Amino acid sequence: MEAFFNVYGSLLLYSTLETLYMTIVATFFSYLFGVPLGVALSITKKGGIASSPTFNSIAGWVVNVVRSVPFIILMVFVIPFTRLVTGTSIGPNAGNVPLIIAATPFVARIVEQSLEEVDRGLIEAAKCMGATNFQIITKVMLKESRPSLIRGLSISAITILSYSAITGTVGAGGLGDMAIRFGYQQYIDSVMYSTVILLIIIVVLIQWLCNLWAFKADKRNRN
Amino acid sequence: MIKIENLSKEFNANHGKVKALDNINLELNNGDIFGIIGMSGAGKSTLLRCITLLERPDSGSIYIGDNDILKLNEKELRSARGKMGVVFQNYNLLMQETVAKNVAFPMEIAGRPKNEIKQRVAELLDLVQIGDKASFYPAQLSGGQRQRVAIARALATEPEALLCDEPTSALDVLTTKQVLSLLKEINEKLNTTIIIITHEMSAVKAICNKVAVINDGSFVEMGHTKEVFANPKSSITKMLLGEDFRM
Repeated sequence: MEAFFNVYGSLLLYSTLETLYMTIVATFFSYLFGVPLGVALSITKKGGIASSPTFNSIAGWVVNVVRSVPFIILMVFVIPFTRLVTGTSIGPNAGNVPLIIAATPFVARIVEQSLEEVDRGLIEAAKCMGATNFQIITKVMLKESRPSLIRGLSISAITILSYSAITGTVGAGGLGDMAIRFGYQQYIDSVMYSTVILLIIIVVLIQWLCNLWAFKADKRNRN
Repeated sequence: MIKIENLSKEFNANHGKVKALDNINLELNNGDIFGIIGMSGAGKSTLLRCITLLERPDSGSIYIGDNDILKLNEKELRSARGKMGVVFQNYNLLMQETVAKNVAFPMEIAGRPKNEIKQRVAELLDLVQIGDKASFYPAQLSGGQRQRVAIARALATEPEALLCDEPTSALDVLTTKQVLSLLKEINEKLNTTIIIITHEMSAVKAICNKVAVINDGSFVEMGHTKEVFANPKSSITKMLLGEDFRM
């Protein structure tokens, strides 16, 4: 045990940090792009506050297409673009590019779903008070769906985490990379198990933190 | 003053067009409490949705003050909306915001200055007798208290009229009485015109000085509450009254 940690301990720690870095950065950017896209999908729907069937079906189609490309294919496919953005095709930053591209439409759907839960009566009430569409989006839709958005965040972050492990196959770094190189290619089972255990711990932590946050944020739980 | 002229609305249904509102005419004087009563499907909700312009009527005019709100552009309409407060059956409060924030909401979106909002929120909460609940969230309040928040919110922009959609239909008998007497009090104190759309005869009897009975999308009877109920002419009014007596 001690020998194992002497050899692989610092590498495991480094890979864990790399994985966390990738997950956090990719989650941040996919929300930066995914929230506006999710809002757009939601409000342009039939009966939405800015109903536009044409926009909605085009945006929906793009989202569906990107989501249907298997991630491992997408990752290879965007390598030229990745080089253009980060100047390299390996390492965590390069891994983040396909991650963000794949996660943005996913996040958009998760956000869209949360926004669907907002009571239509409430949106109409805001309209009756003279709210602009922008005010309805920021002050009613996003505010009222906050607990649901936070729960959605846990789903997105965990999905991005597991995808970040896949980027290890093309040398993006992180726990996935380590599992492939040591566990798979060199048959060192103990490394493989260690990375899996670390990934499990990260997943459990994300879920736990988001649940706690969502509960605290939901004012309907006050009594 | 509120005046509705020749308001009509049709919907497309599977078997052709359905007239949801047929030539509705209505004139309110300042300080009136006007009841619009009818059974389910009579056109009450459509009328409310047309007056609030959540639904565009096919024809007619709706005057609030001197303006026909149907002729306003988007921007003018948004600012004109402040002249009419709406109270909903299921309150429609922001569940993630405090009572104070809920009441402040119409003023915030209208861009009123912060200190003015703060002062007015306190006044309004006192008016609806829940001054001590400012920092509570709606989930922590009873139905009657929530409706008081909704009323305070509807009054925030000093509207000329308060439009209430089944304001007491989700409340128990005692709370109904309290909310109705609050509406009456507001009407007397602020001289706010109030329209109450309801299926509850008792609510109309309790506070409305005028009433219109709606059936199949048109008013079948209209006048001072006492006269209409003392001498009902249409069968639907008699039925509404009869139901009330049988209880």
